Amino acid sequence: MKPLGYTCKYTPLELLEALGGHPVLLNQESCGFPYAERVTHNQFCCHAKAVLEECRRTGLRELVLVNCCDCIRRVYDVLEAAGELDFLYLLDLPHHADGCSRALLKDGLERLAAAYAAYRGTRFDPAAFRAAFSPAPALPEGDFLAVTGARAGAGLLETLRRRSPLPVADLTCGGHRSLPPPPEGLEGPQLLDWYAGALLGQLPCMRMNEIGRRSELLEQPRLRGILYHTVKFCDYYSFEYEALRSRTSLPLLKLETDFTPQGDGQLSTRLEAFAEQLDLRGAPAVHTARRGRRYVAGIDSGSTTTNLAVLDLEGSLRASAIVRTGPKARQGAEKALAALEGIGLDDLAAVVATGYGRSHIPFATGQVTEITCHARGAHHLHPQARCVIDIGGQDSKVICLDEDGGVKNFVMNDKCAAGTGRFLEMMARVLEVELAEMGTLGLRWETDLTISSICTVFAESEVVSLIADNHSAADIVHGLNRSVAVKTAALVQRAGGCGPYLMTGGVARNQGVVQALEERLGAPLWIGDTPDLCGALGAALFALDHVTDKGGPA
Amino acid sequence: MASKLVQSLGAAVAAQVPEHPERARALLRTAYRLVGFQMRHLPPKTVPGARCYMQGATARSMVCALDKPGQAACVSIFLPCEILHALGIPPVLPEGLSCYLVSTAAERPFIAAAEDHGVPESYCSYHKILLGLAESGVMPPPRFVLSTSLACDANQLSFRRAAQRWGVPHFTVDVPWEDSPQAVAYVAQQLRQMAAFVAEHTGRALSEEALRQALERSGRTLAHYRRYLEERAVRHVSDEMTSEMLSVFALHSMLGSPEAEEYARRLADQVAALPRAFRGKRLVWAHTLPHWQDALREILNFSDRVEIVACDMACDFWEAPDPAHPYESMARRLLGSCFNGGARRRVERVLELARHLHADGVVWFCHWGCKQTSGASQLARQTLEAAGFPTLVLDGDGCDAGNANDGQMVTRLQAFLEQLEGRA
Repeated sequence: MKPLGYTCKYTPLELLEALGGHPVLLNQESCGFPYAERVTHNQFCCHAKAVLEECRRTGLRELVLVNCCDCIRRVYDVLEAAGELDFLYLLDLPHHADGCSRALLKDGLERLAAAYAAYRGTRFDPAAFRAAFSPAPALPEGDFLAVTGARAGAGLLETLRRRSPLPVADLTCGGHRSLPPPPEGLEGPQLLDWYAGALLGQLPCMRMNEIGRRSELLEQPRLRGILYHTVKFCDYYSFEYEALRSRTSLPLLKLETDFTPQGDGQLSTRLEAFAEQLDLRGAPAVHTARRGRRYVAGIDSGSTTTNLAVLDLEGSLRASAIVRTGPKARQGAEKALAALEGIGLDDLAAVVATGYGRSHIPFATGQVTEITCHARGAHHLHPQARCVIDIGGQDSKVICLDEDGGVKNFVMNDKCAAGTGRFLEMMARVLEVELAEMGTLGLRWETDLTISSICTVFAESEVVSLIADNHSAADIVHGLNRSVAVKTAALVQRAGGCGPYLMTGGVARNQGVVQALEERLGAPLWIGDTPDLCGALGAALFALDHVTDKGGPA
Repeated sequence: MASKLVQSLGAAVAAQVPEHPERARALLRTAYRLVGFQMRHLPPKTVPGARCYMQGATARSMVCALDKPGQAACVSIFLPCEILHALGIPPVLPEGLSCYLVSTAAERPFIAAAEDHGVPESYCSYHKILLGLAESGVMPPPRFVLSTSLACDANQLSFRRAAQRWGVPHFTVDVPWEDSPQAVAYVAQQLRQMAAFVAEHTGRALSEEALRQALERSGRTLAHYRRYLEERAVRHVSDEMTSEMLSVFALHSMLGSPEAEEYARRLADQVAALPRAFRGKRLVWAHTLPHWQDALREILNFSDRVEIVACDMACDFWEAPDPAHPYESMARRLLGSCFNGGARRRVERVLELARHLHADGVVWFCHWGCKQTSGASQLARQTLEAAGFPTLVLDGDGCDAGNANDGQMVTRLQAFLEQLEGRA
């Protein structure tokens, strides 16, 4: 039995089954795109690239594509040129869903049916056609989260379902195809005409002209939050996300993937922080506050540094340490603990870990994501703050707070390093200046240069060109600072952040970036004495809650 | 890098965009009026006269875009505009305005405005600027927005969003992928509905005679342009790198206007008057030309070493208009465009141009965000090279320097020219 691959919910599956086909949804992530990028381009929709890889990997012989977008059209073109499939067809789908469009689609369905029947040597089987209609997948019975937006790969869906505190319904186009059964008595051209109308009458995807009905997708009484998925180099769904952001009252988390298997790191931080925001987190893995001890601690295990804050039981900061993390989170945490003078593990009643390495600290009594910890720490330090901007070594994030310090919304940068501490480190290396010097060097600029590249690699070559053109290091650093500020301000905008602002993370020590960001935002940034410690401080405050029985998300 | 004067103007515009969009608009309008005046009265001597004429006409079109709200019709590049020309409504091409903004070094705040409002970084930069113009308020609301689904997804997204942002009516013409009699009828019907939409929203009745005359002008424009290509096939023309983008205007949003006809006539006459001779290497350029990129201009502008003899964006259809059946005729133009249908159709058009214009090679320019062009790049390279035309797949961006690696692009283009010269 040869499977017939398809990718789009407008594919006439029932018709193909009635002609003896065995449709299979192509939805697997790919570990890389060597074939796809060889026959297309690297700047190409990652889902489309994954489709090409899946065709090759599985040795698929039959494929029916729909003219859904620029990239799928090109997938058809390159497969058609390669000529390796036994049956390849592109069905033309109108953008409108009116009567004329239905007639046009009916013609297209007739041509597809004729081509597939000729290929297989079969005839249309009316009974098989009617039997092929299946009801839409049922929504979970209780509260649930929905993943919507662009197609989510099978691996991503599996991870989301495994990590989410609530059942996850797939409301992307890959998961909610739904056609009513055909009315009795229709046959021949009338049946095909009805079928064309039914296909076009589905809840529209973003490529259709009239998209007003898409709001029905999320009108579900038990829906508690939305995981909005976008795919790199697919542009359709970022537009809907932006519109949804201002329209929905439901908590919304944007996830962008490139259709490769997702590492658990940033994805799980985002999901756990989202669950904390919804107050849906399950019981922590470890939660045993040790009574009768004098202090509590919070450990922020980041990619570059591990930061430790120790509070006494009255909540006053008693000690802190900032050390390089090194290759292993556990060793970084032990190093930070060893750096404390006169305080050891035996003195700590509770230790809450946060940051990327939080699940690898064996002596932690609880874990909370760095989103919630930064919010808590920021509110403690500066209760007026309503927006936290954190630029760390590997990622940057913006967290919007309510008046009680709760997380209203947050966004994080994508995989790209542009706009993070690592970006500045790389540029310092190109300029051959010390990282510490970068912080003040840009303040002495004379010519206003623009570093426009969004990509770290491109920015590096832009900097090299500017050096070759004899621009001063001060001017170049100023340009870099402004580029970080632009990137960060865009994150603030995406999160819907507004002042008063508080900045944390190692980059908050960089005066040049701070100044550029203040100019960009048109508002001052409040920065504490030890901006790197904010997350650890928040974690320590959660540890203190355990000891004083206030509870908390950990 | 643009001249100091242009840089200063760009900086002045950028400074006004966030707080005083109307001031930025006034600055740009004045600048484009001056361009129109210069091209009419003091045209540069190095540039062919027909190009100056068209530059003046497009500059005036940009002034319309930035003039009083509610006047112009905002259109997408492939939308047939004869209906608008017949009614005397100026069509405004925002992608054209993007080119102008880049040439004014003023694109950055518009790109930022779009990205600040959630437009993805991977999106086409022309459309980012278009959306930035709407978001920032620098481009005032037009009377309405008209667009087609041809040639890319961005048309579907940008014009819908811009119309929402401006709060103006929007009409979309859906162009099927397959060219068939049913598809012609489908598109022609939509074009008739569009004519009714335009009449309804302007209060002007469309005269069949005026529409017929507009299509006749389109026919003459196309005939002149094809005559120009015949002449160019046996001649060297010292020209600006981006000149053919003017033909793109003339053969799309301006098609059906007296200005487009005059441009094509002058262009054909002026090139015919040049000596029949070749000089340097001849390139066919696929897709848009980067207005901002002086490093490429240094190689390609007014050069004896290399010239761009044709751009596929100006040659996407050959269908002669049929004024007796205007709607079916415009429908056939859309369906028959080499930007519609499979990639092979576009590659074959580029191949046809390369053969006809005696090209030495092809540059397939992968404009950032254009997945159709980048997705077809390897297919194009293989097909064109198999036919004997060395092909450079050049990654860049038509209007955002931030997405292009300037130095690497120059190296690749120069190495390609050396390769072509080595073949001689």
